[in-house]
Amino acid sequence: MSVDLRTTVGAFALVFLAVVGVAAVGGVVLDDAPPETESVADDHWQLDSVEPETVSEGGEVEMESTEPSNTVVVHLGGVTAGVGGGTSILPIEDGDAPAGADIGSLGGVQRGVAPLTAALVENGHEVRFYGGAATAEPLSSMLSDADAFVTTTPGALSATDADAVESFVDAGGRTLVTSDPGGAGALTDFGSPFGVYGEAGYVYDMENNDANYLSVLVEPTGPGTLTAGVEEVVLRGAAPIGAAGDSATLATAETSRLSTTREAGSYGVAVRSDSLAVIGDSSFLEPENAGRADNGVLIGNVADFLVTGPNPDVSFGPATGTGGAVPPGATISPGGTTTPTDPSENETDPSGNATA
Amino acid sequence: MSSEDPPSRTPDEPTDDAEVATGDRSTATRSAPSAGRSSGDNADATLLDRVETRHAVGVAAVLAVAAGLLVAPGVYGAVTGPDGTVAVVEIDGSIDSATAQHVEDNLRDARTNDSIEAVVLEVNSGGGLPAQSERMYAAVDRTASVMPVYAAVDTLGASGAYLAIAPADRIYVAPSAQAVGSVGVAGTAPAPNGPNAGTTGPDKSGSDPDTQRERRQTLANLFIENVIEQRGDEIELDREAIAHADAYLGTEAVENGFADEFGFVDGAVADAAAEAGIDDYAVDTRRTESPVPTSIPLLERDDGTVVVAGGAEEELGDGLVLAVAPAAWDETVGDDVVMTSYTGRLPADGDAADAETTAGGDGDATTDDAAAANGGDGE
Repeated sequence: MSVDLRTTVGAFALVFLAVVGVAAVGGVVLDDAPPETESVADDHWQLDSVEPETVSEGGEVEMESTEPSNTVVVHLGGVTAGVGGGTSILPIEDGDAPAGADIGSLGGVQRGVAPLTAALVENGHEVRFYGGAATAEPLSSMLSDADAFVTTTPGALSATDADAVESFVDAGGRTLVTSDPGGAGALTDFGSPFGVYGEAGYVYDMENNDANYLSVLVEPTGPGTLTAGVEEVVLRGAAPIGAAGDSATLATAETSRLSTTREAGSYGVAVRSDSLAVIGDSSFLEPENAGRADNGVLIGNVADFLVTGPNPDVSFGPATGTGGAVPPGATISPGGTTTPTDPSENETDPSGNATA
Repeated sequence: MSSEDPPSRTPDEPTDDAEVATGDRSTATRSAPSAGRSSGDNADATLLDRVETRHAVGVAAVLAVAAGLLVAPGVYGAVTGPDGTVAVVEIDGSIDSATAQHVEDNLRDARTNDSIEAVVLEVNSGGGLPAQSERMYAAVDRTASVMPVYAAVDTLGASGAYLAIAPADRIYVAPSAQAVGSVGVAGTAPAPNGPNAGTTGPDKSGSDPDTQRERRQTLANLFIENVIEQRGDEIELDREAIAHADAYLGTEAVENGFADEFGFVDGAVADAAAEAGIDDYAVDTRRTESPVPTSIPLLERDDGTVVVAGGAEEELGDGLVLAVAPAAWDETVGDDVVMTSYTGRLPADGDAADAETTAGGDGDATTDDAAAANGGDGE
């Protein structure tokens, strides 16, 4: 019996190829590729679809007043209670970047009112910063020589200072008070003699805003010296303000809501009561916000308001003078000088007494 | 007598063969000696043929049984086994790259694996990084275009996690789920930057506050548009209400359309299988692998501040905007990173404000205390 090798190998190859061929053809015929997936819709990812609407930029602060030199005292409170509305006093990623200190820093609380103070000084007026009751010169002393007063934190005024400001306002001293959300109680405490009060909560607007629900757009409710030429102002965080008998000077849009009630409606955020103007936000004074919308126009109007009018005839009585202002926790020595009981308070008052 | 034997036997041979075929071995045995007696080689060849044939048939039968036994389980399995598989993919904890990879890998596998006919997402997450949430969103959307994808939420299915499951065909929630929705983003408040001689451009150390604000709103709008794109028909709230970013209870979510119905993973698996048309199904559960951290990795620096860190211990910074529900904020970024209010003040300031409000004229002391607590950072 002889084996035909050629036939055997040929038969093997034939059968092998047949098997592989059937597998290949079968694979092609029977294979179903993974199902075709639909691509993910991305039209709504285009920047045009999702970019928030913002207000105009590039406004400038201009004063129209031609009044001779006035003195404006500016009170900003402590650092932590300083100007709100986005002036962060937190170091931003510069904790371990000493190189930044070589050429300067972000600046203290005074930067928060820089557009206003710059406009005042540019137009020949004097600006003096009051750093709190612990500083050398009492507020009453400064106010006796002043024509106008600005505070961004009425809650940071001591009782004595608040009384001095009240007397100043009564005597016709033009005063601007800005009070951020959270300061309603302090504002009411300060403003109630003039019929001004703050409401708890904040106003927000999900529809008409400057890229954030807190950045509400407010409009004048009617003609007035504070709002001349103002069409729209952006406030980064608006506290509702009310006044007895008076309607608001600035109010939010009807689409805004009050945080505490969530009720939609127009909320007053600024009032004017004779020589006192109160605005429920201090952020519009900041350098970053002064150019947004008509904020610059409002700042110019505020500056005009502060320096326009007769000089206030204010008398602070016997308390006026050295030691007239008694900060809380301080005792009055027989000589009438003030002795703070806690020296550290002086050291920890970072705003210091700055005069410009 | 013996000479007649061969002729007489020859006609008998077919009979013998038939007997062999019927297995009558006694006859075959008896005939073998007679064949041996008749002649030499020829008789032996016949014997060999007979033995080989019988043997071969026997061996073939045995082999056939063995082969049958080998194939039978497969055939039995094919006849009685499941028609398909429902993959259960877990989305758990804070959403970072590892979470997104887990979900994306398993959903890709579900699409390419013929046996997987449906997917159920088992969700308990309060969100995390927006882009990773978006990555899962895309994977879920792609998978839902070829097979049923259902999601089942127990306690948390909020913020980034809600974005991820929004493209699912149906969303099941536990009635006592505590956070469903929360369509928005959060991070630290926009703040300006001081001059920094170490950077090559003013925005290298951070954009200006307006740009920060706009970009944050852009991220929120992307989120809102994604949700409206996927569930605009189901959700009964308008865009403004969605943008309020509230996180709803399960029972509320079913009412307002953020979810479709009450249910848990088992119910979702059964319904997804039914939707895929498989009565008899297997369940393949894909849990998050253990090395995956349960929260975004954090690094504590020497000065006590905590920053969010990437996988390679690369600091991502605490300025990241996160899609995280309030309920999951602490577990995502820890207690030490505080979501500041728009003013960028520390909580101590809020306390101070409260104290001022209540203490009235005592404001100065309170303020100074707060200043001391803050260390006078702004100066």
